[in-house]
Formats: sequence, structure tokens, C-alpha cells
Amino acid sequence: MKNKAQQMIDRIMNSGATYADIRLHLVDQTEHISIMKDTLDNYSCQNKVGFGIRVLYNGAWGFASSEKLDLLDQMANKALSNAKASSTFIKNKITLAPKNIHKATYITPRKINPFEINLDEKINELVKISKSLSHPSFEIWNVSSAFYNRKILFLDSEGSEIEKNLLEVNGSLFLNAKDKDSQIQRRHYTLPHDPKGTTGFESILSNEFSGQAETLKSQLLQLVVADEAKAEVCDLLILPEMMALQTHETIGHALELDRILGYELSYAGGSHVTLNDFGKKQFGSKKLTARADATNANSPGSTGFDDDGVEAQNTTLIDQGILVGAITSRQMVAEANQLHGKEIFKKSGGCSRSESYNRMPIDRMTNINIDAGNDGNLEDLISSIEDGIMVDSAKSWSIGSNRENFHFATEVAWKIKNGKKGPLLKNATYRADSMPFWNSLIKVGNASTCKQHVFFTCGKGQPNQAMRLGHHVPVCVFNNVQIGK
Amino acid sequence: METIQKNLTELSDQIKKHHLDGEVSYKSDHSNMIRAGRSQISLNVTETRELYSIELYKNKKMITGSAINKNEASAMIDDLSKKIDHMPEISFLTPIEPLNGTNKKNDHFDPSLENINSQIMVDIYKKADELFIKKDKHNHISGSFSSGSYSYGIINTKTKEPLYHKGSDFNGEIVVQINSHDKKEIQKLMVGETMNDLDLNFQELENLYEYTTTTPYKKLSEGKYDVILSAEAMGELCAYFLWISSGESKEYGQSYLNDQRKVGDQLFGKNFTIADAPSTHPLFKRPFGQNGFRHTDRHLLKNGVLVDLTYADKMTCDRFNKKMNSCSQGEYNLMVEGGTGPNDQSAMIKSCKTPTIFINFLHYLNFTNTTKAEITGTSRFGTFLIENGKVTHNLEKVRLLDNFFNLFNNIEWLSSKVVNISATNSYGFRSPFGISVPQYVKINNVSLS
Ligand SMILES: [Zn+2]
Repeated sequence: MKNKAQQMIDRIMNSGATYADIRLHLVDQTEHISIMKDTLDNYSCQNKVGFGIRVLYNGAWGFASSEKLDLLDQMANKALSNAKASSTFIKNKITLAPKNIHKATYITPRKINPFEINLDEKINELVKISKSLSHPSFEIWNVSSAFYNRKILFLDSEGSEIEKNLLEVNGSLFLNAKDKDSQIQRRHYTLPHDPKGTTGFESILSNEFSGQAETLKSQLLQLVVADEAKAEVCDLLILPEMMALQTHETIGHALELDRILGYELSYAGGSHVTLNDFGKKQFGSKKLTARADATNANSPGSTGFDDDGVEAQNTTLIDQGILVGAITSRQMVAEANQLHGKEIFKKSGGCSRSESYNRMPIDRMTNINIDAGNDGNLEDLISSIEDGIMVDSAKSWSIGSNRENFHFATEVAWKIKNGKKGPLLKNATYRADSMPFWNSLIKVGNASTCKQHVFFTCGKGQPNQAMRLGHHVPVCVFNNVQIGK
Repeated sequence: METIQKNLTELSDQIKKHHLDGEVSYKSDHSNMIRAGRSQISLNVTETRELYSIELYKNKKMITGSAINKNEASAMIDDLSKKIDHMPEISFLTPIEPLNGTNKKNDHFDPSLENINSQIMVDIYKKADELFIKKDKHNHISGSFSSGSYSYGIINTKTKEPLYHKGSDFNGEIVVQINSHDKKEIQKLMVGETMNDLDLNFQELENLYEYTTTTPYKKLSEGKYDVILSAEAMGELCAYFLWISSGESKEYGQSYLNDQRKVGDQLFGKNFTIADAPSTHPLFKRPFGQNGFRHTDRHLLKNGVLVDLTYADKMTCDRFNKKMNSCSQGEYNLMVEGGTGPNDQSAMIKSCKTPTIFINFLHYLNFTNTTKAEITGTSRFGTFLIENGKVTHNLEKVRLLDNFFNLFNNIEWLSSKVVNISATNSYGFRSPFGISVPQYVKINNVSLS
């Protein structure tokens, strides 16, 4: 198959293309298990193969994909003819920033491959966790896990030859119960990934997952009798699970270079950031340093190489409150530098990623992280707050199309008065304009407050693509935030 | 078509040979899409796929899997039939029943959308670019246009003949970014089932352009406003509303329905009616759902009263002791009933004597609290202030944060003309959603910030 793919690339290049690549998924298997109220709710599995071919012709892209390997040549021709049609409406020919050429292999580090253990064993483990979540006053409790294994061969016309074996493990819990006002309250939890750990069934067995039941149950039991969070303006302490979403929506998406340039306008939206802002714009207080780090060992955002064949990197995005970098690919870096008239980006940041073989890569987050600060541990942060609220776990999110503002609802909240945490509150929301919000970051917790939370369904692009990534973030405190409106 | 039906029958027979009950469903897709950004084509893609999904049942045990062709599906049936013995029992699992859907030939299938020459799609954006670049050379055209065909089929071991349906569709949008006016964006949506449905009239888009470039800008202060929603904005709200009004959402605690708010109660205004109307809807009529359930006309909300709870998922029905009674909501032919309000844009504007906010599109809707039916999202692609029968200001995007009880009890009028809107952005197992909504809907006292 490798020889056939190489011959196909040579043929397309001989037809006048300036670049071509193929991503061939020789193995693409998923398994999903869901246990609801201690009973199997769903077991499903899928095995696929497929490929996607990308061709650059006369400065324009064409792409075609199929799951029938014998259609390789036909789809290559289709990709080429698509590129030719695209080239009739191109004002600035697409070029690609230079890259290092790799002949390499990347394998997700793992201890226990979930596809190599018995199904009964996996189901029994999840049923055990489910039972630990149960309570007579709960309506529903659920445990689910998903495993995704891919063997991918990437070849391009520049001589790249990259083999990847990527493994992903997702675990989640949720439970809900009726509160005193007959409204359903819910707690959910997704398995955090230790950035230095391994990806495998070992993480489902770990205390980080199965050990969370008591905390979640106790919080849900408090929620059913809790009062509503009041509307007010006060300090806001955000715990890591919510902080991950805050970072994702208002740093990550705002700094995708294709959004900044305007390639996402018709769907996901643009960005309030412009090319003139790099190196100058105050994006957050001095306490904020953020990076796109694809070098974490254990995250669905770490794949060794992106789908341009560019190596994983750790790129600083915001350096002590100054915007210095973006989430970039070869195409967008070349175009941004050309548009700006001088070099902003030295090279691709290796963030060109696609959901699968049947989608064209676009600029996507890898792991968008915030550096730990020096404002102490969680207790220190709570005791430093005179009048505030502490929140965690997203219930709802809605963000302005240029990521200029946001509105979030959270599952849990606690009032903080004179450095002391009060009882749990329900139905908390908060909203702000993104820039004043990040500029009001007053405290960043130390390394003991950091967790890496992962997302498996970040949607972007037309055709839409769901992407998988992580956020390693500390506990943060913001000044004067509008709560409950 | 015959091949797929033969394959489904053979796979069902194979399940019977294992002395099991089961269901095999099939989906295929041929999709093409081009995307424009910054006034040029950024992507031009083609995909062809098929998928067989298998569900096996053995007394109180079940197992599911899927495969990308018939041979793999056949191998998977053999594999799952061994694995099923290792599955735990599900005490509430009920036996499968014969499918009640029926086959009906689709007269609206257009093969030219399946293998569309992508040049046709590229030329739509070229035309838009020529038009708007004449108005201002800094304008940028964006958008995507997707065209293709889809099919789905289903059989189970209690049913002799497989059900099979094939359809075609296109959907797309053209966005103009007006860079000389603070990068404001306006949009035109397109949807249809055959090439003949393609409407490349840009008049309404040009009107929005005029309002944006000739009226002064104003920032709205937080408060309650009378609002006119376009069909697209209203359609989006209705799709969200129906989702938290379904039987499944109620059972899983994601609905506003409870012991106090029930089916049959007058929860919303008497001028608000929504129906699933496959017999009269102009687009994407499906004779049955992907779950094999027949698709027939029914009211979902009649004069503000929720008529029934719909259930489309067997596992949910088994768990909560309900009967499946519907195809899934995404397969409906949704009709929001029109009223007596104005239809065309100029009459709508003239009718607004008191200050009214016109919202052309709602972006990033999400429930802030499903049990309170609270929803939020921002306006996009044109937000204007209308006063004394004229558009007087273009506005910064506003955030709507309200609940469906307020919204749907305060509908002042709905246009009498009902239009088809594009509610899907389909590519890859495309499943177009037929939804028709009054051209404009006026709702009073809406919370905006
Ligand atoms: Zn996202």
C-alpha cells in the first residue's frame, strides 16, 4: 500500500501539482462502553480503514477521501480536479512555509492497551464504578469510556514518511437528581490526563477516575438542597475543570491563525485579535503566560507530528500578558507573514490537524496550557479572597463569534466571604468581555493547583470536525466579574 | 438500490442463522463541499462513505457494532454473535418488534447534486465576489456550499422487506465581511433538494449591506426590547426548544417538563404552533426514520399546548418503560405555523413604529439551564434598530439571554408567509433537516445585553 501511495503522489506531482500528501489510516478502531444505573447502556465497536489525499495545484487546495482502498487513483484524480476548480477563484496563491522533513514514528505512550483486554473485564470495572456512584435519591448515574486506536501512514511530495500509532482513552461520569425546586441538578466529571503519565486502561483504573465518586455524590446531595447563586459583581475563583473551558474558548479559539485571518467567518467565527497585535497587545495581566504545548506525553492533543508532517512543539502564545504567538499551520504562517509585509511567525507551530482521514487539516489547538503561578495553593487562594465566588464544571457555554465575550453556567459554586468557603450554591453563571476579563486576572495558583483536562468534541470548520485536545491549567482568580446575569 | 436491499436481507438472514434477533441499518453518503474565505476558495473536498450498523439481541443481552462495507459487516456479525454471551444482562430489555415504516419512492432525488462539478459551486462565490467588490474593494466573501446525496436503510429479523430511502440536498451560505465598516458581517443562506431550488437572488443581502453601510452605529444598553427575528433565527430557537421538549430529554432530566409543567398544559402563547408535516412540507420528505419508524403528520405544539412526548430511541424506551412513537427530531419536516404579520422586508420595517431590534441570525445558542428553559446566544450577520418604520442604526452584536416561556408567550405576530431555511451544515453522512418558519416573527420584551 505504501508503494502504491508513493506512486500516486509521484503521478499527481507529474500532472502539475506543487504539493501532495496522503494520510492512510491502516487501523482505525473505536470502542465505546456506557453503563447507566449499574446496567449496560451501550457497547459498540467500529473498525475502519480509509485515506485522504490533499493536492495543491496552481496555489489552490483540492481534497478527496474514501474508505475503499482500491479507489486510491480515482480519489487522487478527484482531489486534483477539485484543486483545479478552486484555482479559478484564488487571489493570493496558497504557499506552504518550509518545514523539516521527517522519516519517523510516533507512538502514544501506554501501559495497558484497552483493545488487548477482555470485554468482560472492562465492563465489570465500569459497573463497579457505577455502583459506587449510586444513591437512592439520584435519578440517573452513568459511567462511560471510549477507546480510540489509529495506525496512520503520512507521505508527502517533499519526502516525509511518518508512521503514527495514536491511542486515546476517554472516561466520564455523570449523575443527576431532583432538587428542592423540582429542577434537575447534575454533576459530571471527565478523566483528567496527567501530562507526564501514560494513555491506557490504567487511567480508567486510577484513583483520578474511579476515586471521584464520593466527592461527586456528596456535591450532588448538597446541590439538591442548595440555594441559587445570587447576581452580583465580585471576585471569581475558577477551578481547573472550568478553567480548562475558559482557556479553550477565550484563549485557544481566539488565537487560531485561520480564524484571525478570516477563514472561519462563515461558521465558527473570527477573532478580536489582528496581525498587528503580535508582540504588542496586552492579552491578560502580567500573571498570564499561556502556551500551545504538543509535547505533553499524555494528551489527545499530543500526536508527535501534525497533519502537515511538522514536529510537535511548545510555542509561547502569551508571555506575561503580552500576545506573542498563535496556533499555526504551514499555510497560515506563510499567508500571515506575506499579508503583514514582514515576518511575524518564524515557522509553523505544528497545529495543522484533522479529525480523521476524511477531513482536510485546519488550524487546531494541541494542548493550550497556562503556566502555574506563585500565588500559593488552593487554600491560600481562597483565604486571599474577601468577597468572591468559586466555580467549577461547565453546564453551558456561549461565546461571541469573535471570541470577544462569553457567557458560562457552572454546575457548582461556593460563596467565599472573608477568606472562608461557604455552602454549595446552584445555577451559577458568569459573563464578561474577554479582554477586560483576562486583564483582571489577579492570582494564579501554584503547580499543586494544576490539572490537565481533555476535550474530545471541539467543533470547528466546514465540513465540521470534532477535535481532541487538552488544557493543563492552574486555579485562577479574577477581579470584579459579573455573576448570575 | 437493489444491492443494498439484498445486502441488508442477507445480513439479517445471517443473524437468524446464529439463532439471534437483530437489526442491520445502513447509511451511505456522497458529499462535495467548497469553502471560501478572504474572497478565495480555501477548500474543495469530496467524500464517499457507507456504514452498516449492527445490533444483536439474545434474550436480555445486546451488543452493537458497525462496519464500512458488507463483507466487514458480515464478519462483524459472526464476531459479535460470539461476544454477546459475555455481555451482562439488561433486566428491562424488550424484544425487537417488526419495523412499521414503509418504502416510498422519492420523486425529488436529483443525481446532479451527487456528482456536482465543483466549478458550479466555485462560480457561486465568484459571482458574489464580483457583486460586492464593486461596492467596496475591501469587502471579503466567505462561505461554504455543500452538495450531495445520502441514503439509509434498515431491516430487522422480525421484518421481511428492508426499508430504503435515498435523497439529495444542497446547503450553503454566503457571508460578506464589510471591512470598511468595522468588519461587520452579513449572510445569505441557501438550501434545497434539487438544483432547481438554488436561488441566487442577492437582493436581501444587498439590503442588509445598505443598512450596515448607510446607518450610524449604536451600542445597545442592557434591557428588554421588542425584537423581530428572521426565519433563520426563529428556526434555530425552535430546534433548540423541541430538543428540550422531547420524551428522551424529559427522562434524562434535560427538559423544562416536570410534574407542574406537563403535556396538555397551556405553556405558550395561543398563536404558536409547530407540526411535523411530511405530507405537505416542500423539502426532504422521509417516509420513515433511520430507526425504521413510520413518518406521518403530527402536531408537536398546538396553539401553545405541547401535544405529546416523542420517543425515538429503543434503549431509552426500554429503560423508562415507554413506547417508541417517532423518528428522531433531526428527521422531522418541521413547520412553524404562520400568522397574519407582514412578509416582505420593507413591509416588516414599515410596521415597526416603536423601537424594535431586528436580529438576522443567532450564533452559538446554548441552554444555560434546561429545567428553566433558559437559553443564550448572540446575534450575528446583521443586527439593526428600527424606529418609526425605518432602519435607523446598525448595532453591535447583542446577547439574548431569556427563557422559552417569556419568548413564546410574547409573540406579537408571525409572517403569514412560511419559508424554508437551512438548518443543517451537512457533509459526511448528510442528513438534511427540512424546516419551514414564518419569514419574520415579532417577540416583545426580550432580554438583551
Ligand atoms: Zn472548541
